[in-house]
Amino acid sequence: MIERYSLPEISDIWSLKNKYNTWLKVELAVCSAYNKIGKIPDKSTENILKNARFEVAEIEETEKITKHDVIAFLTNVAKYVGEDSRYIHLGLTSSDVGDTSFSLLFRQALNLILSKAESLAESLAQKALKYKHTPMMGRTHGIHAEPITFGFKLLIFYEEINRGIYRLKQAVETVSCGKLSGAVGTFANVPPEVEKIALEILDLKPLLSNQIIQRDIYAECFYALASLGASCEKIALEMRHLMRTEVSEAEESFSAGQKGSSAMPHKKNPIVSENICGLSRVLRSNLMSALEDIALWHERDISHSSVERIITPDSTILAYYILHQLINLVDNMVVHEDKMLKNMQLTKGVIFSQKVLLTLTDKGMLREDAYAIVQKLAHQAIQTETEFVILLKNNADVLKYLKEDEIRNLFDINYYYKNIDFIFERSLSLFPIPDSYKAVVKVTLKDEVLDPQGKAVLSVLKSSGFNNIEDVRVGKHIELTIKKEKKNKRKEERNNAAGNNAADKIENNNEYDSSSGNNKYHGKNSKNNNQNLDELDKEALNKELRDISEKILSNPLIENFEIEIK
Amino acid sequence: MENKKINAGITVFPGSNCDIDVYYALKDVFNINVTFLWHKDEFHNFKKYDFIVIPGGFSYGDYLRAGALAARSRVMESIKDYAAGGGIILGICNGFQILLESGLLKGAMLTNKSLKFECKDVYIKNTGNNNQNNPFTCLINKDAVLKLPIAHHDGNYFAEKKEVDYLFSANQIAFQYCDAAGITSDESNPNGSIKNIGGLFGEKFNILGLMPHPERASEKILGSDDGAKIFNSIIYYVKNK
Repeated sequence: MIERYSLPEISDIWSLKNKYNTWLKVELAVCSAYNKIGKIPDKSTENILKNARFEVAEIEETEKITKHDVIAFLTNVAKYVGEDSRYIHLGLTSSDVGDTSFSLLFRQALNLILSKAESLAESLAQKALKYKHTPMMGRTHGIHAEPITFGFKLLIFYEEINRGIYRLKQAVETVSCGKLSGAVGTFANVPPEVEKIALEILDLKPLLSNQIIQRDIYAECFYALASLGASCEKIALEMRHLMRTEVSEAEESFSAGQKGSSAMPHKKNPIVSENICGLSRVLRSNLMSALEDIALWHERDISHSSVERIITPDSTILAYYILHQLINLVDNMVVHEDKMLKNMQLTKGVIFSQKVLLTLTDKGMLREDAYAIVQKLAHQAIQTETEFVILLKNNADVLKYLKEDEIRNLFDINYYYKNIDFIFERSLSLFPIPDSYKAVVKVTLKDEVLDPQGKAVLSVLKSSGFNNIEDVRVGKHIELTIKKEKKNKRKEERNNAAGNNAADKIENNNEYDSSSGNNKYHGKNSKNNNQNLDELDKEALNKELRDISEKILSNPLIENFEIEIK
Repeated sequence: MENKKINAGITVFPGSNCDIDVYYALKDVFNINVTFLWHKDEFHNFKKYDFIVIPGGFSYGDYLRAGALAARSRVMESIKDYAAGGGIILGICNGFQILLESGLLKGAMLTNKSLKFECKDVYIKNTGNNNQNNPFTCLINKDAVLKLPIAHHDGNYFAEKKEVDYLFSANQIAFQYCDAAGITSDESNPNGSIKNIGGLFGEKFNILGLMPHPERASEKILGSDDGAKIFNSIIYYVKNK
């Protein structure tokens, strides 16, 4: 992806260094697995785990000769491990490492996007609540229909982004798979236990593969991204419409010094929204390529690989960028509530036509007749720029059924908003604004530890006739609710804390060398503060939960734990 | 030195129920000064206590894991410091579980293999090879058999094989369940503990975790006074240290 759209925290995931790091993680998990089944001696495993590393530049040099990246990587790692390197990559094919790593990297990127999408949902919810009672025109086909509120419009976006979040979570689940089953997936040269143990270490599920992980898995991820992108585009497109000169109901913020046009100084253009609309097209076309990667020759061909090298970084980086842009847009948009009201009056009150129609039929007029009269008067109101209510009051047929003050009472905008509270309550109970994280820690006895409780349940199940149940293990399910700090407050606090911290360090001059380190440190930190907050929070949360689980909720000697953040 | 000058502390957690039994035994049977240590309180005057007993019971209702919550209480923070300074600590039953959970002893307790709450007299054998140098068995002969009551649901001691081998080699296994003749077997194992382990020393031998209840067997009238041997050892050790 071109630098312009690459935010470092997500493009770093696709750096060569991170890729090789992930490969190494997979290779080491496999070594640990072989050690567990007794194929690699303890001493050698210890040496491998301790000394295995790589240098990106050296790998690149070697690859010029081997023309094969995995081999170049292994050669380089071998250099640092020494003789025990003969145990690395035992019985594996390149795709075992490549695809399993690919899943890990994809998951890493999707998780980052997920937390960004959650931030967007939060921003939308805050704005929806702020403009819950701000009247504006509802338009169908671009034509005035009936009143809505601006908050209502935003609430629809909020629900939709929440569905996008759901799809992303599904994609994370789907992509959490690996394969370590050798050249065509038959485990000919690598025992299935090794795959099982290694994938457990990597927190991935095994799935039946030939040489590679089947590409429908990844296509689902690209769909989640493309779909989320389309929803972001929808929001951006709305902004573009609302910002059109003739509408002018909302606009993107325009910063000091910003210029709209090189030729026309008066211009303020919806450039962020247009940018989002454009980029989401790329997400959609990448999905096409991802779908075409599903069908490969026999047990695999390599036609998918070149495509993935491009579309995977591109789509994840772009999705992240789109979300980042849209969050800024939503947080800072300018809303012209007065213009919204003014625009509602453009059509001289004909927007109440349905209410008039229903009341006339209710009072006894034939629906066909009522429709004809209301339609005629409404069109006349717009043509002659006369208030619809006045035309109604002067119509003899209408007056047969309605008194003048009854007619006037029909033009009450609150009629359209009587269920706004209900609508908001339903949405927000369906998709609560995240003010806290929910986490579930599952604690289970380790496989090798006898579970007498499970055995007791098993015997009861058997005596109840469920003879096909082979084993029962009983574990604990612990739910935690962790308070989430308010977005803006958190941002501020973090900025302050980091600022002080950096200043102290510079002043004391101990940890960071003033000639080079200071600037670097400062730069890095401010980048994190502006762009990577929520990810930092997630990371901190994860760390905290691991801590809690390890130290208190489970006894690592006899129990395993699994953390799920909801 | 008179016993009266010996000071013992007994921790009290919500759910402790052998605290009074230990209090009675130490005070009325052995004539020792006894203070209760409330779970919410820290203490820093380590010299004040010649030894501390973490009694049995169901601290915090055995929630999460037996002993898990008590191990994170404030008084245990002080007890860890006390232990680091060589203080003598006897954890009985739930006290043993708390010592494991707090990391002062190695290993963990699982539910009894029988799945039952086991409440009966058992025999334990003094396995230790370090009797003269530790406070708990210095008056007990090696391989001597004691008859003591157990009353627990989670007393199935577990540690990885490597760890158990190490504990044996380091003489840290204090007592093993056995029969009246001192033979350890599956039949004489009341809860499924690995290697019949029923009592375990800390690495500096100033800590003993013990599943059976010596305080319930400190007078003949209770059916056995073998438990007194352990308290007498502690008293002897404290007087002669």
